[in-house]
Amino acid sequence: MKYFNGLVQNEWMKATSKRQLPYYYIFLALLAIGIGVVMRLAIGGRGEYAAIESMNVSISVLLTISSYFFIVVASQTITDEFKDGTIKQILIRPASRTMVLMSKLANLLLIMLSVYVLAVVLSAAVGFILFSGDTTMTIMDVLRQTLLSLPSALFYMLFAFMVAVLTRSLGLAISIPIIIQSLSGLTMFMANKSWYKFLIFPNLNWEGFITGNSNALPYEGATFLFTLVIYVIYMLIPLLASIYAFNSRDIQ
Amino acid sequence: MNDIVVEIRNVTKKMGGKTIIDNLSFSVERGEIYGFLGPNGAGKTTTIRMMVGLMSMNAGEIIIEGHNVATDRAKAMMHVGAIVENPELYKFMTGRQNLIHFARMSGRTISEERIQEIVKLVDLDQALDKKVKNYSLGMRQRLGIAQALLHHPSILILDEPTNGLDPAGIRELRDYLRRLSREENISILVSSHLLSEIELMCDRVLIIQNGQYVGERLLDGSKEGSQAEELQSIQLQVETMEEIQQALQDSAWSITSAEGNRVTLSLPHHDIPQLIEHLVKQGVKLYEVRKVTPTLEDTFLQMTKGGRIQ
Repeated sequence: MKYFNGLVQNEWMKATSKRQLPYYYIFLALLAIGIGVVMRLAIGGRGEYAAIESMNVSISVLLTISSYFFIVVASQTITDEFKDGTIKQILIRPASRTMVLMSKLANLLLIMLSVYVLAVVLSAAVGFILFSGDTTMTIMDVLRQTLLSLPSALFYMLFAFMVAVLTRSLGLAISIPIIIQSLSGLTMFMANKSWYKFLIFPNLNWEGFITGNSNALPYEGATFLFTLVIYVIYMLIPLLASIYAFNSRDIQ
Repeated sequence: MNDIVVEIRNVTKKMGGKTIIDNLSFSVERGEIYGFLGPNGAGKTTTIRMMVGLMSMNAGEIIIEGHNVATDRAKAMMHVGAIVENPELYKFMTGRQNLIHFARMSGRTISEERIQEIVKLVDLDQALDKKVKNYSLGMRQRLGIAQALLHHPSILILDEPTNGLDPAGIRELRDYLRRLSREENISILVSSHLLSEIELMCDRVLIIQNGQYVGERLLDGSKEGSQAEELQSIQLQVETMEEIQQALQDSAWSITSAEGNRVTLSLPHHDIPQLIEHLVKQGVKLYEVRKVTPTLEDTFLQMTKGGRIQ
């Protein structure tokens, strides 16, 4: 366990030594301020809009953009090691290949966590500085909405990770998940088909289960247990495919 | 004492239906510098990649400090320090961060003192907190060696270590490796396609071609005089050819080649004093008697039957 922690620390050190992650934090901060300022200018007075509602809008914009960032980072954590040849360096150590992959995934989760925390804190700060109006929405509603974006973000990140391991191509690892994500909306036209519920896309939306709002269910008769099972299966496939491919490959 | 650190037993590697390494066996003893010589494409890098577990093998086994690389990889790798091809480092991190990174991966506890010690050894203390992208190739090479030595490995594997180094850098590396093997009793395996380099650096050399064992040879003349029966080439400088031809007429020895007033004879090692005595008695004026040891280049060409060398 101590060894594994060391590997995760290494991944975190590599991620923060590249300019990308610190710059992304700065970008998020500027974006949160920008969103707040634009809303304030459009709406006018401080009391005419609620801080919590501003926070909700800001978080959802920041996290939508961040879902692409996660795809990029998940791809790069693999493809950069191949591109720089450092993959050889990390695979001639006692760490097994599976452990190397797991440490990279653990680090991706840490990056994701840091971005989520930052998005919430920045949006809250900007919201409460610029607005003071009344609303029925509570902080808990906002946090719940925030967490509901996680299943989808995690899935596409893992999918990008898998494509990166399988193809070692940054272009493919970034574009394939983004294309699938953009096209996923089209599958709604198949909602009346019997196999629709076995697709991953409707099962990424857990809002109906968490809020108890039956209108928000992804399809008729959806149950949380069924959705969880489908979700776990669709998460295990890219995970196991990555582990298998990474372990069986000769490194040139 | 023949203490074996690495043993390669009947290793075969096939790729795409082609046999890249064919039933190769050799072993490296503790504290020796072992040269791994062969033309480009002979399979040196493939063998090294199998040794460090980057590639799988189709048959045979590789044992490092008693641990099988295929079945007990983690334990085997704890004893290995390696640079496969170029010293691949994280250019966006400092030298110190790179060392910390590889220290954490080593599977042992590496103290701050050890890092300091190794940095002094490779003379990088001035540049340690600079990003590696600002390092010269020589500095990267030294940092590469530093990361490979951090965890006190028993074997250091260097794949074409002098690629891209200038003559001064090559000399520095050579002296440094010699010192390492002597002072820390580390075995070093160096692959190269450059004869001169291997000849200057190594105690023993293995020659491979087309993935097959061609021969093994001790360098530094450590084998000399060990076998009295072994045929030895002797070159003599005489005044005239006739003189020596006449003197050798009724003897057991004969001239194998001649060039100007130099003649070469091939005879058992223990016959050399008798030959000299005989020639002197016959009144041959000898200006020089010289043993001719075949250079590594001769051996290499002979063994690989004129295979490509550089």
